[in-house]
Amino acid sequence: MIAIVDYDVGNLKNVYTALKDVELDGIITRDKKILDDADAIILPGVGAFSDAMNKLREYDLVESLNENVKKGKLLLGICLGMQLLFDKSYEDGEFNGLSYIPGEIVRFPESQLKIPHMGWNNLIKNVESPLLNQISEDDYVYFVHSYYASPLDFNDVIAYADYGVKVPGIVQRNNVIGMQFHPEKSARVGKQLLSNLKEMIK
Amino acid sequence: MLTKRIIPCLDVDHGRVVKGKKFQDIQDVADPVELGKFYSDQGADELVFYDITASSEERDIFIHIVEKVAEAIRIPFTIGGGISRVEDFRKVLMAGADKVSVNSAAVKNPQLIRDAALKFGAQCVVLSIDAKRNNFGSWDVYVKGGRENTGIDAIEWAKRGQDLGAGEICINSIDTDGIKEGYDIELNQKLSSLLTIPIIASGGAGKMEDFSEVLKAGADAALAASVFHYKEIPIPVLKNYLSDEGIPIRKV
Repeated sequence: MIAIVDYDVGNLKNVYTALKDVELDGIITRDKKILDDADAIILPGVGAFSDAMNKLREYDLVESLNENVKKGKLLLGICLGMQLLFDKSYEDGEFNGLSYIPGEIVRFPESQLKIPHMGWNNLIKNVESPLLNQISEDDYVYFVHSYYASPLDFNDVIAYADYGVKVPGIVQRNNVIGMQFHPEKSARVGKQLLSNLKEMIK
Repeated sequence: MLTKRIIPCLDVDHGRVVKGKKFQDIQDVADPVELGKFYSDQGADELVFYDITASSEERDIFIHIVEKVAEAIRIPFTIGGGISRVEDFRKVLMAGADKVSVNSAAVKNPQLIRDAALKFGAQCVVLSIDAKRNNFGSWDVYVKGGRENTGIDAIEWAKRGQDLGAGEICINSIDTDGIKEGYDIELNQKLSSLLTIPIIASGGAGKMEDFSEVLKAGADAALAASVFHYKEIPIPVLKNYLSDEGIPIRKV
């Protein structure tokens, strides 16, 4: 069973539905007991970084996430959920994150490129990982974000997308994984990625 | 590389897709869920479902359709039509939509854009603008399905929408809509150079060259309805063509 953390940041049903595609049972919850019992935890999220962190604190979920990560349980952050895994974000101020992966969330540099980075972009491999099984550089996933992760150690980046800068698409440090794009909205490629994730949970 | 998006638009009335010819590949072409899934499988990058029903009882039928679409497809989709309050945003987003498009209601109450962007994030707020050329070399914003000229400058309104927090602008040209002789290139070019958020071109697609032209002019996505519904341009053929034209495209 996979716990999908419910902390009032957008619709979580789409993540739940996409898990069903790869025969994973999701439970949308903020019950700490269920987080403890889960085989893995998914932290979704859309919206603003500071609001999301405040909600996690309000529902008293930070410590539970910390403990489960320390125990070695797999945690997947999606979109804003991935950004929360880092030390801090500069979105509308300066806010602390969960600090599972060293690095910061920064705004795209000024350029001709449109912000948000919105649409389908391909994943370029940076580090070998079972997460990239059957994923090639011609495979596209759906991104929508205005800030991106700048990790302290680029070896924590499994794959990135090119958008003026190298945009970390999949990050991993030990049992903590992040996806900046939406696997649940990325058609066949998203399903393959979730299926790869499932193999890691077993 | 970020690809340009191809977006079929489906008008839904009483729970059924309004235009559409029989497709051999699917049984019920008027079923928004089946048609949406068909387009998704064909390689559409996003979908737009536009609710053209008026009454509130029918709104509930539509919300139910949004839920069914979210269960059936795994690409992003936008809901438009009849959105006038933050509560309307919440309803369709909770039903599984990724973005919500606002048009007339935002002209009447621009604060709606800001309120929705603050509450749900800019990424889900699409400002849809119906624009028509005037005699002064610019474009006016029309509301009520293109029947009423507001006298507002379309480019100024798009910039204001961006400042208020819209994540994307869908620009529908009334002059070219339904004529199938190409998008309004000048309008899309102007907007694209002035705005920092993505632009969806709408109105006028008739042949594959039209898509190529507007995407090269700077639009980030091209929306069309009848060329897809009447099966005049199959999406895989279009995408191969655009790719050969040197436009970054996601092939399926």
